[in-house]
Amino acid sequence: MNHRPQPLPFFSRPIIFALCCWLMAVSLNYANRSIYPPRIEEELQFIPEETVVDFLSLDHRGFAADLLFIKVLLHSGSLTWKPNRFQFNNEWSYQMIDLVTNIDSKYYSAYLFSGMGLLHKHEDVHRSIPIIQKGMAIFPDSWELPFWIGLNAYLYLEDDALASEYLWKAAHKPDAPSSFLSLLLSAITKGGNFQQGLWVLENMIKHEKKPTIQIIYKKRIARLHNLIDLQKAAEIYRSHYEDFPENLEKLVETGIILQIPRDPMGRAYRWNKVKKRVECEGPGRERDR
Amino acid sequence: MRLIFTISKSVFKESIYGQLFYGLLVFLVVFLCFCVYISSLSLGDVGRVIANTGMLGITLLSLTCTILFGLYSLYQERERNELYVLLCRIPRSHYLLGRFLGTASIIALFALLMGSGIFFLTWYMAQVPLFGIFFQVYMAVLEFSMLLGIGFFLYTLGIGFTLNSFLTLAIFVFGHSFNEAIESFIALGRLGNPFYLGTIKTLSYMLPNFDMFDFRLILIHGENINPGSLLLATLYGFFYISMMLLLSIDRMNKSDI
Repeated sequence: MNHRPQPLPFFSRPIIFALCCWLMAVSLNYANRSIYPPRIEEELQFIPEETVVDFLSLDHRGFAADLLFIKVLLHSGSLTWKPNRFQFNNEWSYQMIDLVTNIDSKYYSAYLFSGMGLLHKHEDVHRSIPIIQKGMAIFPDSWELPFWIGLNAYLYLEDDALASEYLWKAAHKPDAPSSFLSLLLSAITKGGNFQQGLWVLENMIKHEKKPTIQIIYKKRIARLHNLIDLQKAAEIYRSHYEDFPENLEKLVETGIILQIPRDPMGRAYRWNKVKKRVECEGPGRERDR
Repeated sequence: MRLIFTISKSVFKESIYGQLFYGLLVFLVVFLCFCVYISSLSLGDVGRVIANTGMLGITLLSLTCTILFGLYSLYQERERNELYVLLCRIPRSHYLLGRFLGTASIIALFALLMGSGIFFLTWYMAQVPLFGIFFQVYMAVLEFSMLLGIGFFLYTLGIGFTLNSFLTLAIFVFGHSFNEAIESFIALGRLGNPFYLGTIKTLSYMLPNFDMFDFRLILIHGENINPGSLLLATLYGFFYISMMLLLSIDRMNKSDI
């Protein structure tokens, strides 16, 4: 009998050819990768017009805002693994975030991110402030947005007045945590707003359960009262002599106060000629001298 | 009435037994995977990104259903000469309404499947039960039924499939851009010729305005939907669809097939 070999059902001639073609394609792909290895290229960065994005999104503004926001996130985040020659493009990034928040004005994370993760340089704080302020108008009850302006002003700009202004706003928002009150106190007292500092300390005492720490807070309240009294005395001095005193001893010499009060925590008070206010000497004040 | 439902049922069955139906099901699954992938790139807004991308998926699927299930099969029926056999036995108006209802139910099925997918994904991945997505599904069904009605009307005018598809797509794009166009022309109307502003406003009233069915950002931000806007959109869709179908029936009755 003549036995002819039966072709295997799964390996018919076209399938074998197809398999060969696929193997060829895989080999060529491998060769291409070997000859021209993938390189990290500079990203294409441009700011699309808001009206164009609006038109092209066909009413899927949320999706368009998400895509643009992710693009900025990837640019900012990829710098951690990219070579040093790739730098953060802060102008483009902040303009994109501005666009994202124009397309979807209630994109809370975008506002928050502009003041948090997007800060790469000190000057970025100035770029973030108008965006966060835009967010504050839309989310008036959010404590986080003013908090981040305040924190950035305190840490990067060393602008105590701006920091205390925004941290003060944040502290008065509903659901604001008490955990940043000490930061607010630091900014406020450095900024010379002693009356506001009293409010902060009274709230800190309310939230504090340990009696030893409450005693420290009470001492700091006493210090603030001293600073308020000395500032008032300096104002009286100015009304008499048309200028602020050279130092605090002048207040005693002119009889406006009997003596310079003793600080409850053992520090000295001094007159800051530049800022024209009384302050408590201590660590971290060197930059003001 | 029974005849209309019989036709719509047969259109529905014919659609779900076709290869195209399974192709679109695969697309739906792939798109849901894409939603999950893109949400992983977000900054903690997983639910938001899935919902936004998913709503884009609803639009793409519904648009594909409108053109392929609604228009392509309509033209194919004519090419295969089945239409002449059918129209000998049933009134033309019944045929058109039956086909419309059948295709609208396919659009509703796909929109609902996609909506359910988004609902479960947001629930599972972001622990947010986004019930509002089913409201957007309803809006998508209204919007694309309206577009289907327009496609049917263009069909009765004797326009070929390719041109009809392009025109339907163009109307879809224009219908979504009237608010932006008016916003652009407001400045031009104030600073330049108010005639342009008047023209664009008149056009926006006459042509389909799909901006009325856009509640996406309201849904994403978890805001309450104004019942007045909802009623207005529903009535608008109902009247526009009715108008397009009546015109189509009239044209079909008068034309020589």
